[in-house]
Amino acid sequence: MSNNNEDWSVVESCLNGDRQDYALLVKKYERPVFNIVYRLISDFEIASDITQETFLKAYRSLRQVREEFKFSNWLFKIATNLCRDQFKKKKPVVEISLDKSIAVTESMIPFDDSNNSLDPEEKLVLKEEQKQVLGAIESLPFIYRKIIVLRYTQDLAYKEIADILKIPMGRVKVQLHRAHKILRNELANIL
Amino acid sequence: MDCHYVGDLLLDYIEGELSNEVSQKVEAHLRECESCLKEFVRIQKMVNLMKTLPSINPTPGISQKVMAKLGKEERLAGRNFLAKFKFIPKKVIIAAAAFGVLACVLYVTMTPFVHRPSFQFQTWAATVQAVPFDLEETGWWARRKKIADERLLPEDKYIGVIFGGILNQPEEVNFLVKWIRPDGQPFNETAWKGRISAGLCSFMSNLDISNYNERNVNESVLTASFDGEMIFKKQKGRVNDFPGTWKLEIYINDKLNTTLQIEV
Repeated sequence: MSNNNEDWSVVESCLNGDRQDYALLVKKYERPVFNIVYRLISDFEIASDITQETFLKAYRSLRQVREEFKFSNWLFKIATNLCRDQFKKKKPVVEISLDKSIAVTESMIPFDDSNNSLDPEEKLVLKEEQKQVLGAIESLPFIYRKIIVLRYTQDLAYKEIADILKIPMGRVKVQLHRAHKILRNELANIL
Repeated sequence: MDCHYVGDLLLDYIEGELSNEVSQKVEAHLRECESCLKEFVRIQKMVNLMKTLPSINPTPGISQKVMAKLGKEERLAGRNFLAKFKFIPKKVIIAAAAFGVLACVLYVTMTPFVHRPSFQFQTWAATVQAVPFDLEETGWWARRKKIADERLLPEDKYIGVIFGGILNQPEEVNFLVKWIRPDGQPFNETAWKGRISAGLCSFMSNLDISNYNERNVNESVLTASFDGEMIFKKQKGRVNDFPGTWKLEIYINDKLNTTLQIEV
């Protein structure tokens, strides 16, 4: 049974009254949803709230969800929409100064340190470069940031991104190119 | 392929979005052009950096919090009966409520004519109530509107009387209703001979008789609990043709009991 089919069988079980089964889906997707939201909002507390709201909203709409959609992508769609609403409500403070934004965000967050093959010095360099990349992503306009986040933190195909954001695939490509151009300028010192 | 063109394709090449044929051309160009190769390396590095960004551990206990909130919502929904019907469109709820209110109004307004105990009188004389009515506005007659609409013209006027009562002695009576035109000429008569045990008598007189048949007349007295014979004399002309004060005379056992006047 594919991953997506498993998700849908859990959804069916929830719809039949086994609410507790929904916890399986929450546990399975809380990390990717949280990562998308955090990368878009850059606020740990708000990201946590929006992640919870994403799962609550999804549960309330389980009957309306179309099965041809990947369940995870449907969650990502809800999450990005909530982030967009949050972004409109109150624009997160993103300074052009990379040092500042890094200082108030990444330093406070526990990372998964999975690059065990690197020596300590290489790890240090990589971490520094990643911080700069994150700062540059944070400074992107929201429309480009969500494309970058969906593409590179979740490794989603253009088609999936187009479905999630409800835009044509051509526009996904165009926006990805524009985002890259901005990022290459921002990160010229490390590239 | 020139450098400018290849520069535009490099990201798509890295992302695997190019056809084999175009990819091969890009690769051929990169083997020969150092500056494009450098650009390729830059983009590739950036893509790699973004793809290997560390995943962030979410706040602990998200699933517990979500499940707790869902549980709370369901408990609240259980308490709030209406919340169970959230899926019903508002328009339907409003329509149902309006229907309910209308039904209540009709029940309250019509019930006195049928059931109100205060209508128990010893004689018919005391029971007569006259109500000039308009077919469009009187709920009592609205039920007959459909039938009337099929036979009557929009400009037709209606005159009538509703009178109700409960006769304590279920004896046979002769009951006669006469409509007198404003010019003093008789318009029509309806007579009942028999046992009027209880209930409401209603009567409508109107219109061009050519559009009005026996069945309609029976409809008009349907609510009377009348067990006997009804004699209906065809009316002359149309109500519309005689504007002014109409008279309604009610006879019980051949004796004039009540006279009513209605303006048309």
